[in-house]
Amino acid sequence: MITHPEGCMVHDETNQWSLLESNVVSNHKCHLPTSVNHWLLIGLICALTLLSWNGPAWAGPVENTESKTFIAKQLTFAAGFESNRTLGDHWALRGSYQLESQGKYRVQTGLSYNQATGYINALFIDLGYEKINNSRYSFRIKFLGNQYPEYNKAVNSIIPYMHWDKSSCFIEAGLNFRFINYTGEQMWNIFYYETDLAESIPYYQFGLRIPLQNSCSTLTAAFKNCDEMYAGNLGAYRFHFNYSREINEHITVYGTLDYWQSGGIVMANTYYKTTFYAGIEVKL
Amino acid sequence: MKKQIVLLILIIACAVLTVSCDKVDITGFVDSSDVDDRFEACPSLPNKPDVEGVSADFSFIVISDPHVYHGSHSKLAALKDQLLPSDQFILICGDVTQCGYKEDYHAFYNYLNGFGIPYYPTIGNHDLYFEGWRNYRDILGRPCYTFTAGPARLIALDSANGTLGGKQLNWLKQILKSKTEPLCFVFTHFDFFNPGFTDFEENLMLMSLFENNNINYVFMGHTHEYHHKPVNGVNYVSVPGFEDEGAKNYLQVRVNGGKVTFEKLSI
Repeated sequence: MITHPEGCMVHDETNQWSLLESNVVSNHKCHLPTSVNHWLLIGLICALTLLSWNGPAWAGPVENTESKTFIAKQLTFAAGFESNRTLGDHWALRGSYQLESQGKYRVQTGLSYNQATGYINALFIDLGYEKINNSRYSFRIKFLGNQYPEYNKAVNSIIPYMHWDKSSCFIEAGLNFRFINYTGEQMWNIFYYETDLAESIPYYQFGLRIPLQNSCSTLTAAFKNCDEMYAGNLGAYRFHFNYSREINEHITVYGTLDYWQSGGIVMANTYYKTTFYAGIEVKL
Repeated sequence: MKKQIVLLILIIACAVLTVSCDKVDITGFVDSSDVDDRFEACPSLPNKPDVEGVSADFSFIVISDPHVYHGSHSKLAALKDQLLPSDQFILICGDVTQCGYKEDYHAFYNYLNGFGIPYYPTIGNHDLYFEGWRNYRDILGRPCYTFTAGPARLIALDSANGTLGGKQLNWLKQILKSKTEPLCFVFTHFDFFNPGFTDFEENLMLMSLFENNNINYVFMGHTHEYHHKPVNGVNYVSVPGFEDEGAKNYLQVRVNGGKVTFEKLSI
């Protein structure tokens, strides 16, 4: 038996496989994918970072130079319902905590609880360098873990991405380096990457914000393959709608509706999942 | 203003080109035939019969993605000459046609009927294009079913939408619970290891289901590329494409004394 450099098992010379040979998971460990396309995307992200570092004209100045506060803290809590056509329905709870220093350095962490399984099913830490050189660009890197103890499997991701934000719209683009753990080994360690399968998938979202009622409320419509607790496959896109209302300068309430498709890239799409969440954001 | 006009012209040109393309059904990006509807249609379609007269030792052929187009395929007929006397049946892991056209299904049906052994197709995403499901149903029948061949149970799953749907999943669970055969093979279109589409949580759930029910092999198509990944006792094999233009690959799977081996071959 021969081991592929990327850790996948390949045929031996006789092209023969025996069932007896394959009763264990491949012990071969995968490493970060190295295809040219992936490095091009990483290069693009780095180039955007460098360009915005010098504050190019097209990047535009930041409209709102808010956040003079030395450290801004924000707590978010949401409860929701997910209806999946294959996996069934469940309630879920989500919480996250964010610290932002001088409007420049951002740390966000959070988790999600799945009522149907009784387990935490997502943990993440998101680190960001915000509004690089007063441009609209932020560079962020997210460490995300999705745990499935009911299947004895877990998925960890490292997602470097660029975030571009204007009051009326936003874009996020990056690359999700995903590591799938089929054995459940170190399931709760979101930094565990010696897994059976490694792959990379584009990570994207873009959306529009529409202010309503003297800007107290905002309607957001977005197209994406991710959210803070999940980074999906390329073609598994979704439509996201968010309505948020500022109660006062500290408290905002919001509701979200996501309509997921089963995978548009193969042009044979159908409805896959709907999620509803209602939440509250508290600036501490 | 000038830039906006150029951009608008480009967008319109792209839209016209895409819509007028007879190979890709752009409407499928938004909505396509639904897996639950196809599953519900199964009872009204003829059942796929078991393979009769199969001994404990036998072999069978697996092909994928022939993408028959314009009513012909350059090498599908030649596959007949490659069959061995031990080959008892043929599995096809989806994308039988390029666009779901009736003439292409008819061509595929005529090729395979000439082989003299049973064949068992399942549906792929290309088979749904241009309302291709209706043609598939009328000519090839059920997209998901189960049958037996000697000591083996075989299960065809409809994953053309990138998801099985709840109804098909419940059916699959029942089949796995009641199976008594010592060997079990699943064949379907989408590749569990291809991140291009499908929810990975559903993939993990299915893999767990296969592990807990002693599935021996899962044959998958879609990518046209070969790989074999054994995971927790289940062998996942991506069947290379038997393409009209390009490589014509197939697998010959042998069952001998309860052991399963396979060989990747090409014409």
